[in-house]
Amino acid sequence: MEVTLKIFRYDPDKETKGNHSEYAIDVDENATVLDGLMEVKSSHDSSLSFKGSCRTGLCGDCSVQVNGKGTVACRTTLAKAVKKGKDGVVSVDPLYPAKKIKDLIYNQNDFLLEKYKSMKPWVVSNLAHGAREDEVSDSTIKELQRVMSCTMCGLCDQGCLVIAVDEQYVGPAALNKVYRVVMDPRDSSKREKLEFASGARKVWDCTHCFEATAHCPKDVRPTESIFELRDMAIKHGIGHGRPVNHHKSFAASVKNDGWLDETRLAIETEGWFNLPGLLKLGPVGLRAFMKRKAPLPYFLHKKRKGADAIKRIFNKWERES
Amino acid sequence: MKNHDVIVIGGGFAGMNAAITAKLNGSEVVLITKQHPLRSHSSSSHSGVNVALNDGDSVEQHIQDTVESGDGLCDSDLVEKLCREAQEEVVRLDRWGVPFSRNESGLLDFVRFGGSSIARTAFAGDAAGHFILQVLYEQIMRLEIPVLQDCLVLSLVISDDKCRGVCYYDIPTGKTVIEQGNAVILATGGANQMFGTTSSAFSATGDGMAAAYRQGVPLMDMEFVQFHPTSLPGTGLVITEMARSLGGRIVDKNNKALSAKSGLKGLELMNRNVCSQVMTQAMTTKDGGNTELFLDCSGIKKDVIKRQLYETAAMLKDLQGVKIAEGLIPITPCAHRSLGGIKVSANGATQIPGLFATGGCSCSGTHGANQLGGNALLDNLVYGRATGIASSDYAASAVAKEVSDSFAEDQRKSLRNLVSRGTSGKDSQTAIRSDLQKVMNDKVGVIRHKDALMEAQKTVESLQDRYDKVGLQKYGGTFNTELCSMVELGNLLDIAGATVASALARTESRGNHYRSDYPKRDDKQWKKHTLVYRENSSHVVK
Repeated sequence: MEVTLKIFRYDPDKETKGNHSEYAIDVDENATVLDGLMEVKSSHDSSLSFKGSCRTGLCGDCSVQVNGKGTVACRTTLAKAVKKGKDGVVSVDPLYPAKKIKDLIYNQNDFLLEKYKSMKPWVVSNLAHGAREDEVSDSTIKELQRVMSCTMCGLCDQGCLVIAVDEQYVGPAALNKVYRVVMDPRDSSKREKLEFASGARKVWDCTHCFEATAHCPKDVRPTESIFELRDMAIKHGIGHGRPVNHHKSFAASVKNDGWLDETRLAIETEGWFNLPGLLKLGPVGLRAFMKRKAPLPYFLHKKRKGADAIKRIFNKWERES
Repeated sequence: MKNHDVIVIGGGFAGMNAAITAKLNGSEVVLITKQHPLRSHSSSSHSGVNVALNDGDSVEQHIQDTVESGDGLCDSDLVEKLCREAQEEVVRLDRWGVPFSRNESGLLDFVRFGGSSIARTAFAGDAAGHFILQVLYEQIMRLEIPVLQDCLVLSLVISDDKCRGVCYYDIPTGKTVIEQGNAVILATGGANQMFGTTSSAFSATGDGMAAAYRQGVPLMDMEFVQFHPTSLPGTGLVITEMARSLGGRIVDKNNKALSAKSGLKGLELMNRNVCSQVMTQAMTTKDGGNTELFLDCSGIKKDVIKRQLYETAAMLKDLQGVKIAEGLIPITPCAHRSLGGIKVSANGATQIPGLFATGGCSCSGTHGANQLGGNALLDNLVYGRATGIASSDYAASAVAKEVSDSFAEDQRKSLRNLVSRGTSGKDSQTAIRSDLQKVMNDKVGVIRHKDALMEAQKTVESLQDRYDKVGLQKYGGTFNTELCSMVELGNLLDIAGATVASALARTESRGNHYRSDYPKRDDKQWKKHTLVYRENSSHVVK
């Protein structure tokens, strides 16, 4: 199969910007983008630099952008990529162009080293008791395996809309690693980890956009991990203030009325007796009122048709969980 | 210059386990890796760890299976240690959070792997390697063990006949530097990138083996390369033994089982060497051509695939566009694990004081001529730990001595020489690498013969001559991966030379070494290990 790859080339020792070069290669029908890069290095330019290791989708090293979309190069076939490429040309760029180091290599240190480690994501367990393994149900293990399938490829952080505006936000990859620990029945440091995860620029900063889950090449679902962390934090009585108020009010509103009462949500998020907070809402509330977005008084918010059915779903879920 | 207690080179299972153990033993430790530990080859291990905890199993039975698998060459004391300490290692990993799959009682579940007489391999879906690697790295973080990543080992620093550190190429900056320490552990893995069809990651280029070999340390049993029976042709991507354990059958294009054709009932779960040898014979037609073999997984239930083969199923879907349980999957044996390596004692010590080795780059004689499926990971845990303790104890009593930068300067000069050769010729390092992989595939594969091995020896020598003439575009700079590939190719050529020489020397068939010109095991002459030494530029087997 003949394919043309349009690869971002950048040598920081020679230039400041970088540019794209096209390479025509001949590869097998089942060749992956990683195979294609190897072929370019072999037949065109041995100085081409990129990352890649296991070739089987388990190490997360070869994350790049193919045709403008983040992916792992070893699990993306060129045959599929060609169909989505512009004029049949497959473009390959660093996953984070702004963090480029050399050609397709980019700086992974923030998510792979710093943010990951900052969350202290390790199981603390008693190694002394008993000579046998702890009893754990296979269904719990299966769920652990799904969450732990994360390879730290960086795609979820790259897709995260919060990191896009706040680089200090710890991000879905690191939060998923904390969830992996606190959901593990063998861990004895849950409360400490949940308290830490509830701190600034961590679990409560997620905006529920689901981009992390959408970008994940595995079935890890980091967004769900963040939701689970929040629920666990609330159940442990950890976390307070606006994010938790917001979380509780949102759920109560949907449960009771079948849909979101935005006025009540805004007030309850600040707290009924938080006068300075409520005063800050004034201008926003006024603008919302003018645009007919905030019915006043708030009890004018009516139940939606079918609200009782929604309430029954909530009740069932609460009983079962 | 800072002097470390223990320097561990390599961030796979063995290296991380050794580093963790040395740290817990009281040593100050630094981990130096060619890539981030989570990117190690160990991540791609689909199998699991052997431990005799299943009902009806025993440590004695585990020992017996291991010895039988080793085809007369196992060191019985080492096997005993391996099997007796398995429980402690696996339970430790479990408590650290490895999600080993469970049975109905919530205890470890087991599958039967090739060569075992009972289901003994603790597994975690079909991605145990990935999970174990992750958990070990978590402990590295917990213990605050510093990791220097993107470092390519160039040479060992030997002074007063002792190993006092390591010289490496810092890939991000292009600098050649020395890290000094009382003890150095090599845990750099195998060298199966010398084969064209291999399950090994790109990083398996024998860097540690070559560094020790050049210092006069012998490599042991290099002829024993384990070929995994079921990999995707052309890629070497492995379909785990779990698939055969759960009912996958090896068949021809007419869906006739190879076990029936060959008269070997239960072939699928025989030792890997037997399975690969029977397959290779069946794939070779009378006129010397090739015919295909396949894996038929249609008998495996969907819920079992979901629980124990989900990674493999996803890989097949993504890369081949096929569903694992539908149709026939083409397969071929691939180079999977180097059983040979740096000769070490039971605690990982080499003949050079201060130099230790563990994991895939080392060889102690534990596994003999063939390794039982599920014992590789166990070896990394048990002997990674033993090496961690031994190196830590050695470091505590060693006297540090400042080493000269001249070691690094020698390496800088040698790398600059590669640039001065120029790149104007038609030959290239990628062409040499490709020719090496082809000759190793064709002539040093599952079935060997003197004529083919002689041819391979000649070719490897000529490739070495070609290697000595090709050059580099530049020395140093940011992520100069061309330079790294060149160094790695030099390592592969050395290890390939040692492998071919050892394969030529052993004139018998045993375990993973099958010679069609000497098809029988010869205990009289060959119930012993081979040792290959690098003398000048030759590989001398003793």
